[in-house]
Amino acid sequence: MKRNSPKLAWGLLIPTLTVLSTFVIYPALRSFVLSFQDVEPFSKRGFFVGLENYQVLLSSPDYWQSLKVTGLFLLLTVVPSLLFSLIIALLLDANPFFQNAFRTFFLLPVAISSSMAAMLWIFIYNPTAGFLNYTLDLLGIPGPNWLSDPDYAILAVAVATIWKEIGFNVIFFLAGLTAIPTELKEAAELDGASTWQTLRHVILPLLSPTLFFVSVVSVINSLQSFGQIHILTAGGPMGETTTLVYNLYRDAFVKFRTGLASSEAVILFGLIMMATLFQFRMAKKRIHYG
Amino acid sequence: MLATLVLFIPALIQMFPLVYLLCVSSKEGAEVIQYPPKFFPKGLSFLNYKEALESAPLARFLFNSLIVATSITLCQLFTSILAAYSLSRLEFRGKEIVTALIVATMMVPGEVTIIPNYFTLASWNWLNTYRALVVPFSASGFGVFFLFQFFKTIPKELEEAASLEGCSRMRFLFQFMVPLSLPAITAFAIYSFVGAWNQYLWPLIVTQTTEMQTAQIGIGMFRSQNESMSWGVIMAATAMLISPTVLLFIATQKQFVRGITMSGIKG
Repeated sequence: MKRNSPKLAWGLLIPTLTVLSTFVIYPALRSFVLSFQDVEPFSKRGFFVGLENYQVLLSSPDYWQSLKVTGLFLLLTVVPSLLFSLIIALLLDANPFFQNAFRTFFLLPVAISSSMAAMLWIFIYNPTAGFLNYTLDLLGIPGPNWLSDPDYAILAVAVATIWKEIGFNVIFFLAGLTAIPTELKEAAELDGASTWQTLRHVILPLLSPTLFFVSVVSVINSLQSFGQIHILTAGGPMGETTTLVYNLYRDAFVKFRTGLASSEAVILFGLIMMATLFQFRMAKKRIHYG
Repeated sequence: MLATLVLFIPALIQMFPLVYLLCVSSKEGAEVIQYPPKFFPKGLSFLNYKEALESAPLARFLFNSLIVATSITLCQLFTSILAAYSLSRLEFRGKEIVTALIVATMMVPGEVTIIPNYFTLASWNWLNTYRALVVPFSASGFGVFFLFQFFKTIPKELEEAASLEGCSRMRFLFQFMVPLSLPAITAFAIYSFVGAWNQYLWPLIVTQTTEMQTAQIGIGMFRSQNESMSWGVIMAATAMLISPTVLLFIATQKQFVRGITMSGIKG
């Protein structure tokens, strides 16, 4: 059999390489170049302005605000969704009967996109006719106007996001838990370990690769959230739900400030890379690969 | 059983928005905004569904989503299978660099490419077409990498034996490799379809008319353009737009879950 067949090899790679270089590699490099340019709206002509775009961003209170909002949103979504999904997956795994009965309920949101999830929640949050404030009313708590109150809007968007993300996380946690040999859990119990001890010293260490994978994906997803914000609050009220991505969208496609938006894209890329690398470094110390 | 109770409450919470959606969408007129609100509707009414269908091209939104997501999936499968075969089985100079380049594209978030891509398509006069929604996503670094990993597990001896029998490389790829890798290919197809179906930012930017909007974009437009419309109608439209994927998920849960976990764990 012929070992070398470079012509065929390159021929097979052409479709992939053409698409990826036109729509991923070239635009990524061009974004980088654009971030040092000032581009007039509706024209593609730009001239170099050095670091001006970055200076404008870093001295803009709105941009710092969006960084703060992104960080807060990250905390409000990733931590609870990981925690709730882990608890749900552990309970389902420990109880095969309920796993069959309830699993679909938890996984269903996987089939629903972030914008559709937002549509499901938008009426629940309705201050007068929605069920959330009615329930709070019955309990004697005055409910806020969730989506237009600056203090609550981000929480409302986060809850809808968590609701959607739980399905995805539970799928992975269940897969990870199923892969742990039952003998190990039984052995721990025979040795007199309590449920908590088994969980802490046997199950969680063995689940750590899955935990790591799910947390990396959750952080990236949260940083890139867009659809639910666009539908629920459109970045408002008073910029309280304007994340980095939402700010980028508005600068690029509403205000047509291409150069500025490109520098935002470059910073966002850097932040996502840093968040991922940071998690990889943390993981090196803690993860136990069986 | 404590576990039952503990599980029952979150299960109820997870189901609540969907059940609520169905209840609100089948209420009649003023029943939707009456105070105090009743959770369940008085009777089943399909009036909202009828009105939603009359005031927005919901079928067209779903059709667009289906066309776009199917085309993206098929294109990605085709380009990735060819590239993955080349990288896993053929020898040529520069292979390491090409592999590294393809893997590196997985790390570029969509937000970084979106502005230049918009310019590119605008200069080709492609905005507001199916091409604009499909072509930029017709290859996938992740797809190549994922299938590459799987192709490597298929023994080389098999191909050598087939070659001795006079089987060409391409015939071997499509008659043996592809069927043998079906679990991986299905997993990637599901992953790719779901991702394409759920896209939001890109279709929002490149579609300009109702006829070209996908379900994700159509629903938001429907709401913002009909501020005065009853919530019952908006919820009915939402229900109709999510039902295809929800029903599909219920019907193919096992394959779906397997597809998502397989593509996720290897990635």
